[in-house]
Amino acid sequence: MGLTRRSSGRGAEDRARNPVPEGGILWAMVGNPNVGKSSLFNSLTGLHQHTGNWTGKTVGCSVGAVRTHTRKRQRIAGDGKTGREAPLYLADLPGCYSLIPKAAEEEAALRFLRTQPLHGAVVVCDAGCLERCLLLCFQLAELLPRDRIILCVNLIDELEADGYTVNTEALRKASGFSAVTASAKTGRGIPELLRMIREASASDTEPVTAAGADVTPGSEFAGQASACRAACVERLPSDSAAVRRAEKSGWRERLDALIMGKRTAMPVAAVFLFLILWLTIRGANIPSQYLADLLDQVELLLKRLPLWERLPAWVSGILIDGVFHTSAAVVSVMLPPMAVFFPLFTLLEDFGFLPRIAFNFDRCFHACRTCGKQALTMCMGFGCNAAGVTGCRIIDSPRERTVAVLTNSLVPCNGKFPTILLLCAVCLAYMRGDGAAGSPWTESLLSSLMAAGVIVICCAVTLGLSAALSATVLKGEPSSFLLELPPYRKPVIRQVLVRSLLDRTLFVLARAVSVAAPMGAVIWLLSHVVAADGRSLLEIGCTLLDPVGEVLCLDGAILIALILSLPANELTVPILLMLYGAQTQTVDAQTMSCLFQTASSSDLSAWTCLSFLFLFVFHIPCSTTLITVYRETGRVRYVLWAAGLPLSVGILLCLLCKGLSVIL
Amino acid sequence: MIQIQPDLADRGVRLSDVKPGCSAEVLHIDERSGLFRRLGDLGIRSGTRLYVERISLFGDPAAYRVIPEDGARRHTGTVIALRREDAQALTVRLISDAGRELRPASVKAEKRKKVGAAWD
Repeated sequence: MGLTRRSSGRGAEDRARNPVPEGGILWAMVGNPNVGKSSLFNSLTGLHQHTGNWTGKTVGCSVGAVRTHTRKRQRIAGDGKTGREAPLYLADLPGCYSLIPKAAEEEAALRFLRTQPLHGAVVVCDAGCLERCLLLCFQLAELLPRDRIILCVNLIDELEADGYTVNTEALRKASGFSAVTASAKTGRGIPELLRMIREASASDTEPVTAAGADVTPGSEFAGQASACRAACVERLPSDSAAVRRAEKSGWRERLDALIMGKRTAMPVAAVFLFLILWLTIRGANIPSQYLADLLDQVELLLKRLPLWERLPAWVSGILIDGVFHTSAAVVSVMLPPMAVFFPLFTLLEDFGFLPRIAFNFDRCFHACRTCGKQALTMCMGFGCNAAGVTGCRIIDSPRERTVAVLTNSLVPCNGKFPTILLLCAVCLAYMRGDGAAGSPWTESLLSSLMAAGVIVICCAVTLGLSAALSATVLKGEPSSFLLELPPYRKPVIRQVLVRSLLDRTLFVLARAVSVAAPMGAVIWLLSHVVAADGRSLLEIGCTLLDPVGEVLCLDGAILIALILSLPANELTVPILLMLYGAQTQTVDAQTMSCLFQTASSSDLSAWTCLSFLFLFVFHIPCSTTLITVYRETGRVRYVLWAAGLPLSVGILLCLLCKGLSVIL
Repeated sequence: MIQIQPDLADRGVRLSDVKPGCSAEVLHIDERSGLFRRLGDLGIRSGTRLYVERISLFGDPAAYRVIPEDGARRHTGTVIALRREDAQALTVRLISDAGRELRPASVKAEKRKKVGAAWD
């Protein structure tokens, strides 16, 4: 779920094209996937490149300046003669196993190396798999001069916990590259690395471009690499603290047996899904209420401002009833669930849970003749479908990648989650009949069970349609598949909290509000511009769509809300509330069900609510996702497929609901 | 300690036929396999020893741990998952004792190992 401003923002690609201002020093960070390049990059630059414990998380190149305070420390430490140093920039390249590209991300990394003038490259290695990291390093030495390459042996603390360490001097002698051991998590070795980068770029200021030269396959260097590893990996004395800790720890094996065991894997996955949803619902309910009340108060205060008396009424209408009201609704519906869901998800991601899920369920994808890594892109889709579509680059085969791209928006993104949870609660309220609330505990348990059910349906539909696509339009056999299972890594809790709250939550929220604000104005205009017969444009639209809604077991207002929320799915409920004429942003289950009963002309029932839920889950993906699909596939045809697939599933399910409601 | 009959041990078997809990040494990787180069990039070549960690929930794929050359038991290191068809491209030879150092032998794993030695 590489979801940050940098990975899905508009300027992400431009930045990679011309990354460094005049006079800057640019170093690239190259390395195998999942060796902690992004973490290292973050601790050097302070940029919030999102990290995660799985292969292929970084899909684009991002460039950042090395933090100033670190530079200051550097200046004192050495190189006093210039006084002022050229700014140092680092480029975080996607992980690659080899410089003979096979996957799209490897091509991106190689393109960067071949086109950008670099002062040098840091090869980031996993201390535990030094040998294969060295293969890449030797390949890189064919493109860049040896003195421009620095080996950074990352994750050294993991190897030391196993009772081994790396002797950098021996490594330098054996391989010919200057080497440093580091741990991005603890910050160890980072000043040392910076000093080496500075030294290497000071001696020779001309940047080099790695164009032209051919690359030898990595396996040719196997002998050299294994000699290097044998020379530098040393056993720690057995009485050291790290070794004593290692003797005790069998928890990784036990956890693996639990998560991937034949009998336990399914229940564990189900329990995890359920727990996350339940915590999100329970945790979000109360702050959601407070937030809505607070924003209501703010709206009242805003309305009392004397400013409005001097302006025409429509100005305050657009600004307060349109822009502010819609934005406030989006914030109060979205913020609390996201603030709970994102940290939980990030924890699982950093821990190394996702590849194991892919391992467990690969057989299903295999049977659908697609790639098991699609499980990973689906998980990314839960965060944001646009990020999920971009993430499909980790799939090597073009056919399987297209299948994954087209089916990605069948899983609900976090923008849909709050609304799904809400609709589940409303459905339950209906099924009980009178709309009276049970105890909050049973309430939240039941609705999280139902939401989990919705997610299971989504996954089943994804698999089914993937199989259908593989059998018809995108015909072909599954290609070879190799998935790395990284070791479990303890996430840094504080970092996870800060990063997921500030980066993901606020970023997604800001994007939603930036779409919601202008849409609020548009909706206010639509509902206040009056046609000849005294009805507003929105009302006319609702009436026009009512017959269509009737067929789908819905009403016109719901359809209008779904259509108008094309820019962002978060808008559906606020728009619907506005259409139904609600005066509050409080959107809990009771309010919604009351609204359904009172405000609508048609005879709404639990079936309506259910088909609303289905059509909401399966309808046209948001515009950002569609644009991303176009960018990734380059074909309008595929964009139409990506929009049509979920929509037709949704319509079918609605028709099913209609049929059932007539029969029963 | 399990004794493997010498004639069986020298003849290659396909990696996909090796049971979980067993270790095997790679004799040959089929060059026509789509993963030939990728395996090389991961440092898996003739002579590399693999430990079959587990088979997935639905019987496919399986997870293989690359045993470090010094044979030491570590938590770090490469673990890869391969589907059955892909694992067939690797011809391996069973080795009897490398797994013991790598993994705390539970009773169950021991049992599996005995079964694994007598493949069909």
